[in-house]
Amino acid sequence: MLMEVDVEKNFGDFQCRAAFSLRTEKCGVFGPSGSGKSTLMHMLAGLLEPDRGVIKLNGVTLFDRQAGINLPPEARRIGVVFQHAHLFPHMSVKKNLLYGMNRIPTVERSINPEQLINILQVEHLLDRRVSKLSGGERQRVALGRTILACPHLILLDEPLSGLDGTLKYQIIPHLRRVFAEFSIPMLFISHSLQEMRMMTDEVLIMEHGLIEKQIPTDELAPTRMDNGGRGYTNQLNLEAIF
Amino acid sequence: MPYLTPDDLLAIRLSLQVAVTATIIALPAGFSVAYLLALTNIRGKAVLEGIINLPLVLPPVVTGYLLLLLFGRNGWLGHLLALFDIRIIFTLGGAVIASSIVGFPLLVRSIRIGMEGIDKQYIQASRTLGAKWWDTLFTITIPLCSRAILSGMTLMFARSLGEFGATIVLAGNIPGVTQTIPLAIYQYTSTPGGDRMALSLCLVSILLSFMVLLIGEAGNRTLSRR
Repeated sequence: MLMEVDVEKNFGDFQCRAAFSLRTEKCGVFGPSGSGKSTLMHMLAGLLEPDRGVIKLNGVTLFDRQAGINLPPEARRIGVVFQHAHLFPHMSVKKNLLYGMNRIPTVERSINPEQLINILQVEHLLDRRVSKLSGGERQRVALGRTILACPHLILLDEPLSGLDGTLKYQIIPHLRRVFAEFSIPMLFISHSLQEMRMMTDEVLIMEHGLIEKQIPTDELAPTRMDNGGRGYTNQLNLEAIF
Repeated sequence: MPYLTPDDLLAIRLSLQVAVTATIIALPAGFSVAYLLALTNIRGKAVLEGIINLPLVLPPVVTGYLLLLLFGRNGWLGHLLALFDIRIIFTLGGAVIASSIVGFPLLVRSIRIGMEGIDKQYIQASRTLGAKWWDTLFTITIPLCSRAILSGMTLMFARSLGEFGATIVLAGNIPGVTQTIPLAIYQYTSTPGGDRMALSLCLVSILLSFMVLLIGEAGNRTLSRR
């Protein structure tokens, strides 16, 4: 995967400016609430138009203000797993899972739905109504739904933050296994250091709307500890206690 | 004992015909306007909303009179339609137009509120899963606000059944042609000895309106169970 991004978005007194280039398959965007992670995610997925800049994925220009290019979300092939799953409430689990898959050409359907359903352990849920699922089940179905659309990149927007502690650790092995099995590049967005460590190899650190640093995940903790007690240090301590 | 003359039965039929046609004709336009107001960032939303809601606050007679000016022989729409030999005033078409305009704000308001209640992330999820905007409209937006659409249609239908002021000005009160239930009741009340006949039609009117509300509620329950 090669992702090249240089975008800017202004909302009155808040500015989000992100310039980076990613080659790693398992990347993260790490930062506190309000640091601009979600804004960046929305711009990448085509859900929010940047004020200026360029977004390229594997050499394909998805957005280029100057050239007047702005591919709509459905043409970008960037999947999103939302924080609260957002499964379509009027459809069964099965229909949710197949929603994206049915919208890509047959030749591009590279993922076997049965295999994925098996890995995610959702076979027994297929005919259920979405409202009857637990939080963890919802997130597994949401992940399956996104993967079956065969995206070129998956953005995971704090997918675990809506789950309680135990559920969180039950779903992480599923996530790791799915991404290992199908080798789909991902951008894991979170404010949790532990999740970042478990899911990613490289991290973009965001603060006050800016990409402050791009470092291997292994270096994440020491870097923040050197930060003179500002920024993430407090959060880091909380994570350590937890 | 309620007694209905053949003219009364005709008035009931015309009322139903007007209400059904007005609701069906207004639905696509009402849905589109609600979509513009709820889910897009177009300019001049406040002005558009004001214009749409005008018939709700204007006396229906005023709405009818404005329509008469528009569709009359010297009105620009009436003039245009006359070229194609189409006449609106004093026809059933006029009654349908009057009902459509008067009931339109109720339809738009109901659908708009339903659409505004949809979590935008469902729409975003659908788009990132490869659905174009019209695909999302039919598979996500419409099903998620189906109850609001039904409730808007019910209100519009009931309002059309009861429409009087704008209809009598634009379509007149011609028995068998444009005379709907409210117009027939009006005629009976201004005719000596017509009280009993008026009462019979009042009962029919109450019954019809009640049935519309019941059917609407039953539909609402069915959709909420889905």
